[in-house]
Amino acid sequence: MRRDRPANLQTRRGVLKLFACSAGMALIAGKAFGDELYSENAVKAAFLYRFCGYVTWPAQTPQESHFTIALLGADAVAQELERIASGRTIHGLPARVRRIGSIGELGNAQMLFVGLGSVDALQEEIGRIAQRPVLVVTDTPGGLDAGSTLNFLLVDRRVRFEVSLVAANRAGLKISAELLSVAARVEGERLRSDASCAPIGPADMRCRTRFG
Amino acid sequence: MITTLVALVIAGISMLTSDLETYRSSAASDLTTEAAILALSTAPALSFDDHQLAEQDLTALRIRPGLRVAALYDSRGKLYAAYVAPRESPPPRTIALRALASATGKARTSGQRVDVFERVDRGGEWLGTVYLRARYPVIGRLQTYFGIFVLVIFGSLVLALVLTQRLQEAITVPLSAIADVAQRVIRNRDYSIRAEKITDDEIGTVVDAFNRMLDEVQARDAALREADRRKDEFLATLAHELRNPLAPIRQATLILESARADERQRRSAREVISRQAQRMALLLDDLLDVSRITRGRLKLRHESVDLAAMVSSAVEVARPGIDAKEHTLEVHLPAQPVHLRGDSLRLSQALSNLLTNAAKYTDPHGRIALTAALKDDELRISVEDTGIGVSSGGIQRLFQPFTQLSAAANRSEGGLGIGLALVKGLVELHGGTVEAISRGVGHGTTFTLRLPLAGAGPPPVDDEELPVTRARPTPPRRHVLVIDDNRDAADTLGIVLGIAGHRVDVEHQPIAGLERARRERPDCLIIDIGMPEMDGYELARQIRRERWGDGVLLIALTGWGQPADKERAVSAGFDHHFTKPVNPDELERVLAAAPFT
Repeated sequence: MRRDRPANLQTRRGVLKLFACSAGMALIAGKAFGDELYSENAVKAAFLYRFCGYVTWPAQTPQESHFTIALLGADAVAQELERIASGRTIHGLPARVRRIGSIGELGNAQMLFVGLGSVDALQEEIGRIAQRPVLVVTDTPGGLDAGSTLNFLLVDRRVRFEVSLVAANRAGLKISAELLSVAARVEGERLRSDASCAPIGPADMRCRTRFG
Repeated sequence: MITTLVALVIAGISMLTSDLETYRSSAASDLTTEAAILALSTAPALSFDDHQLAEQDLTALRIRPGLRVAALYDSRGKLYAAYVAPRESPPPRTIALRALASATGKARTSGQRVDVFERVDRGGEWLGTVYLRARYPVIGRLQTYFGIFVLVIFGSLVLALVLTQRLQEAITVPLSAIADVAQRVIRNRDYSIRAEKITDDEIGTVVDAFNRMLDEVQARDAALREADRRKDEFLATLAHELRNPLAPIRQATLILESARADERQRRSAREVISRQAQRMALLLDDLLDVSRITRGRLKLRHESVDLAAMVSSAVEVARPGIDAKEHTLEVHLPAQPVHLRGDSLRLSQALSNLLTNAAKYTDPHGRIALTAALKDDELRISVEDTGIGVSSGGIQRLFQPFTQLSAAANRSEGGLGIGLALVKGLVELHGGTVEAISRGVGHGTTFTLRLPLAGAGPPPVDDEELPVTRARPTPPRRHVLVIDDNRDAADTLGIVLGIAGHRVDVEHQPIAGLERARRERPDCLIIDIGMPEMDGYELARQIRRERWGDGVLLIALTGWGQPADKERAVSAGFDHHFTKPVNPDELERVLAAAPFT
């Protein structure tokens, strides 16, 4: 579903929502996770880590030495992610978390998480790296419109996400069908707000929506 | 039957057990695989905390038969999502992770239930645990199998029963048939019954053997009856034959007793008695000979026999019979002298038998030809007559003892029917053969003897009571004491010996005889065995105990002639043993030969 709202209002609403839900999220998130803390940030961090297992990057030459997840404007999440990812490997490469101040500092990171920002503002920034094989995850309502591949959603006080196959395609990334099956919403080649979309069906990539 | 049953049961149970085991283990491995697949497929749901997706994933397993519970636990062991089949007990709310650590991936079976736990891992993270529970209708399967099992056993048993029945019948039926026949044969003494041969197998062989046995029994039975009949016939004939000479003897004695008979009549009577007695003696001698031959007890001399002499003596014996019927006799002998080894007396006896027969069974004025020739290392003597001949059936029975063919018997010339049997026996003892050929009744008969020239003679033996007449020199005079309770026998013997020139005393009582012997010390005692008060053996023993008893010649004279009797006589102390009537010449020989002091 596409939400057409003014950027500033969007951002403010998003932030409010975020803080409002975080306390509630703690308990809910706690159900699914063992040693991690039950905060929303922790959940998001875990999700970010796990996304990597369901995405295939194109072969890079020369081979990178690390798998770097860059976080922009999301220190709390970055802290959690640092804890999760320490000592672990992603796609055979030692995982590394970097906090960056701007898109320009992305470097050779394979994944980017943008914590805050309006859709319009993000759109311009993300647009600059759209063609690069970087998995961009946003945390803003309507974030996919900004050009990201994955965007977090809050559905029934639970952290969910939506996927843009267009963006993934553009970045040269392959999204596993398993991830699509867990996604709350998937945007395919053509956007379609068709109520007759099949609720489940990895075969149907054009439009799939769950949870309403 | 029991063994079959036991074997079948054991086999069935083993198969059942094996099948159950296979069923269980395959069910367990299926579930384990299922759990592994589920662990993979539910990883995303657990990764991203998608409760709904997790439930969907689990419920999708509903279509799997036997699956009763599919549950997902989070990384802390708390139930996250579950599918529970209707009427099934729910899974535990929490699970102990530490205890689970070793048990994951391995199915646990108990009864009809299988449980499996499997870890859900992704990207190096332990996301949670999958739990599957399935129930397999082992009992149902067991029941089905048991049903099949019982059916198979039952069917096999029935089949086995039928087969054994058939096989047994194949054996018992023919065997009981044989037993039945055997019973009937024994009960009815009917040896003509035979068992029926049904099959051509081992049983058939038994039936054949059984039938052959019955053939044998039947043949022997017939032979026995025949022999019995011949014996009866013989006894009748014997009685008849003995009466014949007795009649004239009796009449002759009447003549001698009569005071009115003149000298010529008396002489005639004496001649009759002598002749008839001789005839009886000959008859009995022949009989004894045949008996001895049959028992294998006839002993032959082993000497060189001159053919011409033998033939001439045979002709001499048969001459009266031939002349009486005015037959012509031709004798053809080889030009050169022929010698063979054997008993000349016996051979002569055989030949004279043939000649006598020829004379007997030929009508008066017939022709008899005796031809002797050498051929192929053997001597052939043939006696041909123009007599009554023999039918082809009769040829077979000709040489059997006590047989007289009907045509011959009707001639009432007498005889016991043993002449030819004697000839056959004597010739065969010499290693030869005798055969008869006739062109039929009324066409005469030819008897041919074949005797081997080289060697084949009887083994050398000591002689035994040969009825032979020998020339002898004047014997020395002996004092003889005859002891016999048979007055006539004793007295007549005494007269005979007296005529021969000896001094003879006669006693009719053994004890009186003993006393007389003590008194008079005779040279020789002739003692009858069968006496009252004291038998001959005892008398002999007593005599031997006497001082003078050692050197006395003791002769036993008796009607008993078996070897056992002779042995008894010898062991009682007798020097000789003769059977009655004793041949006077024999007696003379003994009296003459004995050394006396």
